[in-house]
This record gives sequence, structure tokens and C-alpha cells, in this order.
Amino acid sequence: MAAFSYHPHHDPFALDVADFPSDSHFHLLFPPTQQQQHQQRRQQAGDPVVSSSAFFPRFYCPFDSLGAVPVEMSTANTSTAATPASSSSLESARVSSRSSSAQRSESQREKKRKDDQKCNSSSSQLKKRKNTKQKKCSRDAESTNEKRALKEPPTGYIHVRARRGQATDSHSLAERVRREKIRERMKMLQGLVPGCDKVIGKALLLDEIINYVQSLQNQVEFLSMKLASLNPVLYELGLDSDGYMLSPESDGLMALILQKLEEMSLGLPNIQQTGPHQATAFADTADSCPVQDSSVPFLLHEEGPAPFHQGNGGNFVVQLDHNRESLFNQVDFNSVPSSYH
Amino acid sequence: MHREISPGNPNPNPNPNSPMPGFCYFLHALARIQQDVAPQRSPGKKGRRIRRAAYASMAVAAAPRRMAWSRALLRRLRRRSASPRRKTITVTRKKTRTERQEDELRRLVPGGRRMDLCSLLEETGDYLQCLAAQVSLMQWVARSISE
Repeated sequence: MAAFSYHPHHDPFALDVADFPSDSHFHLLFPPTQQQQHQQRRQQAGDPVVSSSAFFPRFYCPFDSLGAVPVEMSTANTSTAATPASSSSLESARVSSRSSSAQRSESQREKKRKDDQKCNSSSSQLKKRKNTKQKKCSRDAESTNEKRALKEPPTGYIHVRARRGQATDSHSLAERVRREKIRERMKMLQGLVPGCDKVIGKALLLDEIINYVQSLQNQVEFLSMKLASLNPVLYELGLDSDGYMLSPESDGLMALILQKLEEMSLGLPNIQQTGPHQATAFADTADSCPVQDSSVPFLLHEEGPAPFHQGNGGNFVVQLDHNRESLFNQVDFNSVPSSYH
Repeated sequence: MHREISPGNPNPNPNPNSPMPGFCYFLHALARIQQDVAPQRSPGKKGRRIRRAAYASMAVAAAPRRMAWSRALLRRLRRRSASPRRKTITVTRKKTRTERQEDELRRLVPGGRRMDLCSLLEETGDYLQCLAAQVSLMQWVARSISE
């Protein structure tokens, strides 16, 4: 098990990692005290996935029948790296955080002492150890309860547990965390890009993503050209010579646009989950969109009754224009270029 | 990270009830562009302006989420001309296929050149969503005009 801190500004994501299903080997904890570290080491010796304290008795049963086993398996999995005394124990899997390195060395020494004892002694010690194990089990239950209770606040630590045979230095662990993050985001992107579900492999997936982004950008370009060629129609339809007033017959179009906007502003939070399939959804509803004037006050509901008498559409445009003059400037860059410097 | 997105505009989201203000901005910008440019009837210039407005409204729409791509997009749009690209010192080493693809993605996503891969992928997801919404809006406007 290892704890190390990585970029503190990624904290919200760290919580996501913690919520990842149980097959991942991350979990998020507080920076552990020495005792907690110890307990968790013991705990994870039993089972990597299920934090069951009930697992321990079953696990230790064989040793009684086998008699004296010089190094028990659990410590082989989780003991500190390269303790010379327990030469047969496999080195593994525990790097503690740099900030708590003092604690770490202390616990290492303690551990070492224990291992020495274990190696020297015979099977009579096994019983003793079993007793301590049972104590530890009860403490494990407590600590898991504590963990559950104190899970909410974000910390800068992610605990990674290296499997057997995996490198344990902090660089390798950081790299493993990074790869895990990348894999998760790839999965997220796979949900966003349509027709990407069956694609396997990072390279192919990246290809799909790149193609999709490119096609969308090309589409924006194409549509802006199309709108540029179509706009005179809207100009004749919608706007008077001074550009701000709508003629009465264009109320329908404006209302349609507004209703569309309303639908979109309601529907857009859904995009976060459903992805671009939403786009086709509201492209389909566009045709069936009814024309009604009741949708016009959608943007106006704060302003109260309009002082103009031109009809709904005209009032709407004038008011919004007063209201958002600055926003116009922001969006339409060519017309007022000097305001950005 | 906590820099204001649009320093010229003190209140980028005047109506907190509408979650996507950028798309309203797009329609208003469209109206304004057609009012300005229609007499000249130059579709190329107009198209470019509409494209700028589309990207700007996208960026404004994403501004409350403080995504890096929206800041980069606004920064790019505010520059009048294409600024000289920052030269990067290239180590002559043959890149793998994945690395080439990453570079491609960095080129496509605004502001992606200086990101690490993790945040690049995150930004790509957000950018994709906004781009898809913008495309559907423009499609809808185009269709409702041409009818």
C-alpha cells in the first residue's frame, strides 16, 4: 500500500477515483496515522477487494495444520520493502507518502523487529500471532467504520496499492495513477463520441475523437457560411430598416427561436449525461415546434411589462438590446474591436 | 484559474436562470452581423464573422464552468490577427502513433498545446459537448430561416 500526494488542484477528481468500482486498486483516505497504516496493511493482506475482517480466520487456518512456516504469506505480501532479516519474504507494495516519511521509517523499524522475531521463533509463536491477528480484526472493523464515517472531506492523498511484482517507487505509482485517470477519461470520451462504443484500443479511440472534433469544426464553418448566404432572407423577413424592430409578421419566427432557446436551456444540462445524441434529439423537435406568443417572455420575466407598443417581438429585441449591450460587444468582435485591448 | 473570463464585461451572466447564455448571444450577434454587413453582400466576410460569433458564444456559454478551452478560445478571438505561433524546441525523435494523435488533438482543442494529457482529455470532452450543441443550434437556425 502506498500513499502519496499528487497535484493538489486535482482534488475533485481524486474523489472520482475513490468512487471508482472495486476492481481498481485506489482508495482515498486521510493521511494515515502510523497505527492506521499498520492496520490497513494487515487488512489488505486478507483480500485486496473486500475489506472483510471475516476473511482473516479462513486465511490463517492452513498455518496451524502446516506447523512452522517461517514467513507467513500475509506478511510476504505486505511487509516493508527489502527487510534483510526476512529474506524469504517477497518485497512489495508499500511506499508511504513523502510527507510522512518519518513515520514510515519508524514503522519500518518496528516491522523489522517483528519480522526478526517471527523468523527466529517456531510454531508456538503462531498462536500468539493468531491472537494478535484477531485483535487486529476487531480493530479493522473499527477502522473501516471510521473510514466510512470520515470519507467526505477531500484530501490530497490517494492510496495506491501495488500488486505483487509491480514497482513500488513513487514515480511508478504516480505513473500508474496517471494512466488510470487517462483510462477513465477515455471511457468518458467514448460515451460522448457517437458510434464509438465498439472501438477498442487507445489509438483507434483517439482517431475517432479527432475525426469527430474535426467534423464538428468543419460543420460550424460550413453552417456559418450557409447562414451568411441565408441571412438576407432573415433580414427581409425579420428586421426593419433600423435593425432593431421586428415587423409584426415575424413574431412567429422570433417566438420559434425563443422557444427553441428555452428548450435548449432546459435541455442542455442533459447533454452532460447524454452527449451529442441530444443534438439529434432537438434537431428532430425543431420541426414540430409550435408557434406561440406565450414563449416570448422567456427572457423577460425579470423586467416587468414592456413600455413599448410594437408587439411582443419588437419589445423583446429592444429590451434585450439595452440589457446586453456589453454582451453584444463581447460576441461580435469585428464591430467593436477596440474594447478588447 | 480564478481569473475573470471576460475582463471587459463585469457580469458575463446577467440572467442566472438561463444556464446557457451564450446561445442567446449567438442569435443577437447574428442579428447584428446581418444588420451591419447585409448592404455589402459579401458572404465570405460575413461567414467569417458568423463563425467568430459562433465560437465566441460557445466560449461565453462555457465561461461559468471555467474551462481552459473557453479562455483560450476567447483569447484567440480577441487577437485581431494571427499571432506568431510559439516555437517549441523539438527533439528529433520519432514519435509513436499515439503521440502524433495527441499532438493532433492538441491542435484541435483550443488551449490544448500546453496541457498534459489528462486535462487535455477532460477539456476535449467539454469542448465536444459545447461544439455539438452549437452545431445543432446553427443547423436549427439555418433550417428555420430557409423554410
